[in-house]
Amino acid sequence: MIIAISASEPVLQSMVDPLFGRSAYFAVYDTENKGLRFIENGHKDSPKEAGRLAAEELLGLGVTVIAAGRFGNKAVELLRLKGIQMVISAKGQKVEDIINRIK
Amino acid sequence: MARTKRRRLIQRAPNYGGFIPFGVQTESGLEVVLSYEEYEAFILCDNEAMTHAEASVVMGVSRPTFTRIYSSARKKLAQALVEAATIRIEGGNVVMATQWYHCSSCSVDFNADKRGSVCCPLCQSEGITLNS
Repeated sequence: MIIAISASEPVLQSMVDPLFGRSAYFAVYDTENKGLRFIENGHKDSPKEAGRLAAEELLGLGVTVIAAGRFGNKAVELLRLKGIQMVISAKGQKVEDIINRIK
Repeated sequence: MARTKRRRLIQRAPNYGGFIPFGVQTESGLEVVLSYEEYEAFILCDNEAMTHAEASVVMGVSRPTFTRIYSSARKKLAQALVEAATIRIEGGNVVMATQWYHCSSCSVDFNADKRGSVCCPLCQSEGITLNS
């Protein structure tokens, strides 16, 4: 399973970003080999459809679970169509909190 | 008999009940009730920058109906600001696009389309509750 978590900064202690499409970074964690890397969100400042573009990029990486504070409607539409699990974090949760919960 | 209203599709209900003004005496009891479909219409247009035509497709209603829902939302919100009224977000003729669940041990919310056995995608526990 590969999980993507929206992150405000490229560190493990970063807060989970409240927005999905316009978060600065994504933490991509692979549960198979326990590999974690941060990718920059190139669609952060796109005037429209940031969520959909970011979702498409993550889909290309083989992500099956995405965690963020909130998803926009266009992102929800696409992710549901592709059968991607969406997880909405609680306020104040950090990237490491989410990763530590994964079994 | 009047024609029945089509149910409006919304993605997710807000996780709060509304807003109260501060700095004023609210005992006057003025209250504005914003329905879920009005809340959703307002978000689609003004937060996600969709046109009425695009947003109406997302909500599964016609473009004129969407515009009516949206105008009603704007009117209520303006009224609430002017009159310092409490805004309650509740009710409405809606259907959720997907089911949202809450996992109490991870304190996260997640969606699931399939019915039946659903478990938390993070901790795999089944100690989850369905959000209304």
